[in-house]
Amino acid sequence: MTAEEAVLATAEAIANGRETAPGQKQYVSFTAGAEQYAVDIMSVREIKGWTEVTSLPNQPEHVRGVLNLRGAVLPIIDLQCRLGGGLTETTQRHVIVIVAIEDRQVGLLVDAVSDILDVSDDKIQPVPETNSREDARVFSGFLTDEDQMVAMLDLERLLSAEILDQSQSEDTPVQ
Amino acid sequence: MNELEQFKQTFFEECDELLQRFEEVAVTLVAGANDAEVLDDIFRTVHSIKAGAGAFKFQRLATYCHEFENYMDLVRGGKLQLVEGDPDLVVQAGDILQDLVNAARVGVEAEAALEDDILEILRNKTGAPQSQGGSDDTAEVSAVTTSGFSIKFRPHRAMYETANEPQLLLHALASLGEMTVSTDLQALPDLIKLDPLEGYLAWSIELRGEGIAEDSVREVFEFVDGDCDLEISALDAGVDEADSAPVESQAAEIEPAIVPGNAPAADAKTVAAATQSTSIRVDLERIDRLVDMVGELVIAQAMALDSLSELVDIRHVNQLQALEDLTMRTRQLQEGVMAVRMQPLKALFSRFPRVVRDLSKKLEKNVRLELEGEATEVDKTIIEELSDPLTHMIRNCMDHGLETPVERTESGKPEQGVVKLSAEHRNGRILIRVADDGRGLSLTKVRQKAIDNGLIDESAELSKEEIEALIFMPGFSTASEISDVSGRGVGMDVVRRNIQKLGGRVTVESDEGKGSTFTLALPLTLAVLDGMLISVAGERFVVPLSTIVETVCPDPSAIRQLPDGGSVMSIRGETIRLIDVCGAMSIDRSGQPEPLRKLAVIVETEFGRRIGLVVDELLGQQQVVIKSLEANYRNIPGVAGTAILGDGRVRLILDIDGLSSMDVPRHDAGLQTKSPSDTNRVASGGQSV
Repeated sequence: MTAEEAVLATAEAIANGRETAPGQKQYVSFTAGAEQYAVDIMSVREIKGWTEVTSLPNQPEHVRGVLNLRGAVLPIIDLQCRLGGGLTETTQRHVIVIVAIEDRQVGLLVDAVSDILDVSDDKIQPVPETNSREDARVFSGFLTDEDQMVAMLDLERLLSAEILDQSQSEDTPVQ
Repeated sequence: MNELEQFKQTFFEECDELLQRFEEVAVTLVAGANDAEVLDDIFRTVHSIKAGAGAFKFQRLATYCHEFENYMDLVRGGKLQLVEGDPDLVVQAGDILQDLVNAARVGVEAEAALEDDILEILRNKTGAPQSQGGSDDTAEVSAVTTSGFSIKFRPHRAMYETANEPQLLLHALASLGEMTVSTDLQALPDLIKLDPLEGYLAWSIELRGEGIAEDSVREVFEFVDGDCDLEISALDAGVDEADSAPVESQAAEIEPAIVPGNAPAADAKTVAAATQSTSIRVDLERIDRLVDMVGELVIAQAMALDSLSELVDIRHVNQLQALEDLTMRTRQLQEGVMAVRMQPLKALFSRFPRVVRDLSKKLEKNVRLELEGEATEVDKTIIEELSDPLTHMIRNCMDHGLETPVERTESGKPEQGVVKLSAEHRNGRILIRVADDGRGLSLTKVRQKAIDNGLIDESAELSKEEIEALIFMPGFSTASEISDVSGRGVGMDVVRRNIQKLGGRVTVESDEGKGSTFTLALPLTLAVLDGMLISVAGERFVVPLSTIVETVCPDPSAIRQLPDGGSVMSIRGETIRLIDVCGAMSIDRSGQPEPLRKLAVIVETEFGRRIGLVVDELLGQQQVVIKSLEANYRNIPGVAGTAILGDGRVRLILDIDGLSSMDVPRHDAGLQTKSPSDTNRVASGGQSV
């Protein structure tokens, strides 16, 4: 889906949201690298095409920079890179999914938005404990579709470094 | 919200203002001296709240105010002297008044019997002198009253506009005595000329009855004073003098008796009238919306200017002039809007005499608070956010900084300690200082504490400044025992964090044995900044214009490399440190040509230290709208905030003080300089997991 199509589909899904059966939730799924991921549709604020961002000094590699979204300055996180892949080679067809978490907004750089999924809670498999700790921390579960697995992102954990209270990150003790 | 609710809200807002003022003045009361101005102020506060409480049927509040008012009236009239303990009583009574107002606001019943004790004391105070001074009162009353009054009352249009109803006033008058009223229709025009909004009627009233005080007659008209013609004259009470004379002679007689009561009332009126005409209440949200809109306008205007820059040509002189005009006006508009948000610090500072007074009792220390620069204006949001940090710092000064009176005397200091709170504007920022003349920071103790708490290594060699800065580290607390005053687990690190959130900085300077000074440096406003746009390796940054001293193109011979990888420059005999913006902002210069000659922008930090920023190019001056990086992300060392420029792109605003204290990127001789991506990984080590 292009950014425009994704926005339309999302809007429609939200409008139809009331019709989802109890115990069912809607998710926006997208691809980053070779993988499929999904987030709760209610946390998605906006979907827009990739534009050049302003990079920030001395930040983790996956923090691509900041973007002006109608007067607000948002950090843009490279999802693929955040999850251990390399930096995304951005093109105009890449998409930024803007999600809200706590009272903050963060943009996720992904390859493309794929679908809006209606999923009942019992279809979501927990993350097996044998998975590496890193993965266990940022996925809240897996949804096995007909042909592939979609990882449900736990945004709070995924973005914990970005939304953390400052005291945790800013002070390096005097050596 | 219905109308009544709105009025209520206004009432409570007024209460807040009044109570704040109360707080401000009440602490200045001292036993043995009845300061008329202060007492009047307090009386007015209580009186106004009483009136509102009555109107909104907050019975308990009204009753309390009534008793309190009675007491204040006697005190301000000089019938009661303030004796030892009375000033505290007034302050306490004010606290309870605040509690009752709060209870009324949220619509709950205040704690039972909350006010009973204080009312008991107030009644005792008022009771005795009232009966004993009763004769006094009646003597006065008999001087003031006559067998009645003749009142001429002509409401103006303004009185109707403020929704006052003459009929109600007349009813109120009728309750005072026997009344005959005649209506004066003279001013009433023909129907065709009648303006339905104009007031044409006037009334002549004769009010008869024994013991009616002129004050109580005037009180009826209290709220319409100034909006009507009002003549009140005493009916001759069988005085055998010419008709007009007695009024005058009586007035002369009365004067001394009623002046104390009347003058302040008139005073209150002028105050009320003045505020009425010069200020309105506006929801802060509306102002913020306006500020935001103007911010967007500034961006739009910058964009327009940007895109029309090719017009710079003699043929378009008119268009350019119009553009120039627009720029100027946009700027004025912005300044005007920002000024709406500015408030003097007085509102904030005035809380502290009380804090100090209460605390000095608790700590059994004799402390004087000195205030300076209260008129300094700062953005309202900043003022609000400063309250907690400042309170904390003042408490800290009093608890840890100042010695006990015994210790002070032993070390040859005056017994009374001084905490000084001052504010001033400097370099487009505001500096607030909290200073005490206490024991100062003990460097050895601070250092030991930091080692004990695992903040530093035992072997660490730190300068005086570095040791002092340790007290702002999370997990540092110097109080060896947790006192209930400042040791609530909240340390100076929280203060620092709060200040940083506002784009400010806190530092401490201390002289062991002589005291310490905490300095807060804050932006005047959180919204706009005059900036110089610079470019480094293709990236653009904003340098706050207020920090720039000059720009030079240094001769290579004037630059010396330091062994630690940094460099210094000599300018007119002064040696200053150079900071390479490219390195500090970890910009990858590969693929970017090195400029032939770099520029050094000489900037001055808050504390007067000069440093040179090495940049490629200056792109020009621009006003930018500051957007916090922390709203959605977090603070980054060396970055004061972000700005959205004319092209819609976000640019980083350099934090001069942050940069000047940043470590020079270290690289050992013989090893290659770390590439930017390496530094990236090092810096992010803790977060990338």
